[in-house]
Amino acid sequence: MKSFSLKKWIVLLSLGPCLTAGAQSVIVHESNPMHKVSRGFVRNAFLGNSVDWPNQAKIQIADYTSGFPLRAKFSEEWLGLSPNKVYMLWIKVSLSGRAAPPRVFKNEDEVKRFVLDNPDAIAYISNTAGLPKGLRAIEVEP
Amino acid sequence: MSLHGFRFWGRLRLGNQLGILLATGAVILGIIFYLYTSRLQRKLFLEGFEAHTTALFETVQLGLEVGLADENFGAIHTVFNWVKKKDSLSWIVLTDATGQIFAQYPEASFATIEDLQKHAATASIESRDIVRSGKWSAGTLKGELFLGFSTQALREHERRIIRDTGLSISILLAGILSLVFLFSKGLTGPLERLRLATQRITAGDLRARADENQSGSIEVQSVAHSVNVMVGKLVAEQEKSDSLLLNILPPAIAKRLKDGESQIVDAYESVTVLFADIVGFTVLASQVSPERLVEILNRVFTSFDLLAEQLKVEKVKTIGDCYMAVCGLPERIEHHAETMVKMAQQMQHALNEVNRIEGTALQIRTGIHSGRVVAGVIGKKKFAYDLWGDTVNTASRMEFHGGAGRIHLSAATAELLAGKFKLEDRGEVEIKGKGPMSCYFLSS
Repeated sequence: MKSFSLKKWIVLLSLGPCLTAGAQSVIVHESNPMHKVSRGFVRNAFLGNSVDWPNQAKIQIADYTSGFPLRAKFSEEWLGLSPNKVYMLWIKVSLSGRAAPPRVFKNEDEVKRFVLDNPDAIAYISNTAGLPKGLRAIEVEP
Repeated sequence: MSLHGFRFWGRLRLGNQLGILLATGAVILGIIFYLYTSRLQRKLFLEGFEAHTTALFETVQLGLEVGLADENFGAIHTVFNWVKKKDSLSWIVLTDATGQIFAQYPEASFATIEDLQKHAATASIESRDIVRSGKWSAGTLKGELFLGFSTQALREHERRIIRDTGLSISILLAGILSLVFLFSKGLTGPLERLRLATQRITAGDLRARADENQSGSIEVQSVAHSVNVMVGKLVAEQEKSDSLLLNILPPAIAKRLKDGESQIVDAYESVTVLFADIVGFTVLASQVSPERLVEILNRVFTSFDLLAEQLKVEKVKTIGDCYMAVCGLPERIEHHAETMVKMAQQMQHALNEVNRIEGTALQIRTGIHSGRVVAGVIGKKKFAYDLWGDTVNTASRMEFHGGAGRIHLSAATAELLAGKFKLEDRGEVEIKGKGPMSCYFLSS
């Protein structure tokens, strides 16, 4: 622990949120008119609280199966809830019918393909490297 | 039933009694049928309701299980949407592993799980809704699924059963009652018609007949036939009786007697009475047998009767060999004297014809007088239409003081003839018991 100087800790802690928050990127279809959304908008969309894009189009959510590691991280870091809580929340949304439930996929390729096919979709991926044509990362304001 | 009730029942007609009995039976059967079908329909519907709610619950439970296993929230959403459209569904509640409610539809159906449990404890088919429940699980997650089903549909169905069954049975009863009415009418109608026919016959209308060809039982037709045969015989007997009565009485008098008059005495101001006595009858009686005598007498009087009928002269009676007739009653005739003289003339001709046939030489002595008489029927037994008064005696005296083969008239009759016949004035003739009277012979 001594080899880890205070300066290094300060740098690490200051970069921490950026790294963790930046561990996932939110992606949309290239034709989506939105280029910048708030973090709250993303949270509300994935919790079923927001159902429409600002242009009134219905938000279509793509998510991952329970065992997919990225999902747990996204749940906790972006939504502030455990994956189980999110899971049960979506059961509740399915019952109430107030929002379209998410489509769940096993890997990022399937998620990308879904977003590519649905201009109103929103999803998250681990990094934007190699993002296929037709998709783009959307800027999320803190 | 009270005595009064029995009397009332006894006063009813057969058709009404039959109709009431059958209608009562139909109503009782209808009520029994209604109760049975209502209960059966309720039982069947309850079974159907049980099966329906169980199937719905199991479908939702299975859909939830499968959807959760695949994390297919779209499928779960579809299943929930499907069941939410069912009229029978009241609410859906999902609890988590701790037993707390985490999702429900409609929102805020129950505040706590305790509220739900309390409601489920009292829920039954008779209450507002029934509750079905079962487990759900997905990996480490688990909980319980509750579905509430409204019994309103059941109650509406019951109301519909009551209404529809009641309506059906009412229609059925109306049909049965109509059939009962038609049946009882068909059964008692012929009897009623037979009763009316016999009532008319009893009232004296012998033209009335029972309808033998009417629809009805063979027994009724047979009775109708017997009634008609009986009436036919009655009519024949009555015709015989009437014929006999008309032989001894003028038709108008016979009718009055039949209509109930017991004593008939009518005064006539002007009629003409004839007496005709067979001259030589006593001599003939000593020459031929009594049978032959009566045969000849019968032929003579029968020919006179025919003449009387043709000329509308009323034969009154025969007294031995004397024939008595009157003209001008009971129907009043204006020219009675003239008619009676014609009758007398034709009687002479008729007798000549009898003489020619029988080989006899009989003659009649005729006396005619006109005047006031009283005519009628008196007494209770062996009654006959007869005339009374001085006119009758005078006519008899005219005959007595007349001559064989001559027609002897009184002045009263001669006056009525008003010169229509040629008369031979005899002047004053001493008439026995009357004194001198102007008399005339009808010229030959």
